Amino acid sequence: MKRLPLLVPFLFLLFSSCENLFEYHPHQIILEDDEKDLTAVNLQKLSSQSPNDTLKLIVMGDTQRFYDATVDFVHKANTFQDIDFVVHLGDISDFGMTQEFKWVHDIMQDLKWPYLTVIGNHDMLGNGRKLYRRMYGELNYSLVYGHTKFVFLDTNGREDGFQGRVPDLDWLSAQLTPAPAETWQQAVVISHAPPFDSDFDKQLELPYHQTLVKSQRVPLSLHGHRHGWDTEKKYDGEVLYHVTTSAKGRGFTYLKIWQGGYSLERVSF
Amino acid sequence: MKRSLLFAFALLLSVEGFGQSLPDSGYVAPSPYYVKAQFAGDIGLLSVGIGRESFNRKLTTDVSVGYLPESVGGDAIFTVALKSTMLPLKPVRIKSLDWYYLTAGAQVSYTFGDEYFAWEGYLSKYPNSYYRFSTALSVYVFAGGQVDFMRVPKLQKFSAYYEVGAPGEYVISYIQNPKYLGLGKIFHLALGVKMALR
Repeated sequence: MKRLPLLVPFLFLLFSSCENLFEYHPHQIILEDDEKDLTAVNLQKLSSQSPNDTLKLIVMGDTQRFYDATVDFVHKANTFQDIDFVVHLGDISDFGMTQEFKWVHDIMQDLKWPYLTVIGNHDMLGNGRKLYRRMYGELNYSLVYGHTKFVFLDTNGREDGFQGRVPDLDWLSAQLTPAPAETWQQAVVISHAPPFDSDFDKQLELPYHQTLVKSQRVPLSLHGHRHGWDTEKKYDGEVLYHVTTSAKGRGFTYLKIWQGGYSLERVSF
Repeated sequence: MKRSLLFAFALLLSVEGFGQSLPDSGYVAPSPYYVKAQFAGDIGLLSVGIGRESFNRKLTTDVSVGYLPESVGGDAIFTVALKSTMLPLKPVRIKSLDWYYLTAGAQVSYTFGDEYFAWEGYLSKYPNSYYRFSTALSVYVFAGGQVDFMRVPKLQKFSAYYEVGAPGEYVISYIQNPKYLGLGKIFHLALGVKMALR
């Protein structure tokens, strides 16, 4: 009986420490206002920035279940100067659960710059696809920033059952064809799974590469997914395929792009 | 709003005063079977179920169906759950209430829908052991307490319980990320009532 007066405040403390008091389901899609349409929000931020001749990006990905490592990533990234934006290469979450996306966003919003994402295969599990659309936005989208166009593409073919639809190469091809009024000179394509990965739709592997080559505007294709580094000119050597390691691999890419060229640096944290 | 709710709840537990007991006249042993309704707890906004007490009321096991409406949860989700709760310690008498101040248990749930898989081996699109987890089946662990109204006139059949619980995925994430995640981030409150069947 003597324990009782102690137990009540203990329980009270325990309950009040729950940040969201109730959770109805791990696959519920309940978002705060500042957790919605993040792609549009960040594109808006980018449209108010003025790009220099040399663009500076930080490219990272596969945060999955590696929250502590992602916190360390943000600390390291924030020591850099004059970054234009950060790219998350997908697999934001591990189980496609809402709370995972929210935790990663909570960490990533401490970055000094806007971040843009592309969807990973793990982000499509359960209610992940639906959640990604509401929290971030479209699975395929693009951004013209200074002299360069950045094309974000869903390449998670396995999650679509390898039906020849993902990635959407017609959309990609159209994106890589500048409209008469557009001034961008070159493009970088960003996606989760690289074309030479077994989770990329085999029947679209070479057509993907050929789409980039045919446009004559894409020197660089950026990917994550493989939890390791890889930088290689594949196929006919016209495009550099650069794979960045995971958050658990404690590395990211520091990418500089200028008109007609680029440099890649592997950074550890 | 949430804080005031909590306060009221804590107050409810404490105002009754301690150490007093009422005579046990009119006590009727309840049936081991009960029906229950629960708010939250990772199987829906609301769930209803049926269960049985065993081992001299030290274990309760129930099956329930939970529903999360789209208007609340952003997506309509049906879930079934098998839940076992241990009540290992004797209840404390607070006036006419019996308070089991420590309960703990686990639940296995199955979420319905084409977007979830119980086992990826059933799906031709994945090679063997691709994800190594299930998105439809989920384990949930919890600890809490229960208040029996067995000696309260007109409420003899009823008990109320509260628990803080977390899906196993969150617990694993917490163990692997002790710096960023904390118990307050992974555990959530659930509340429920049980009614003994006679």
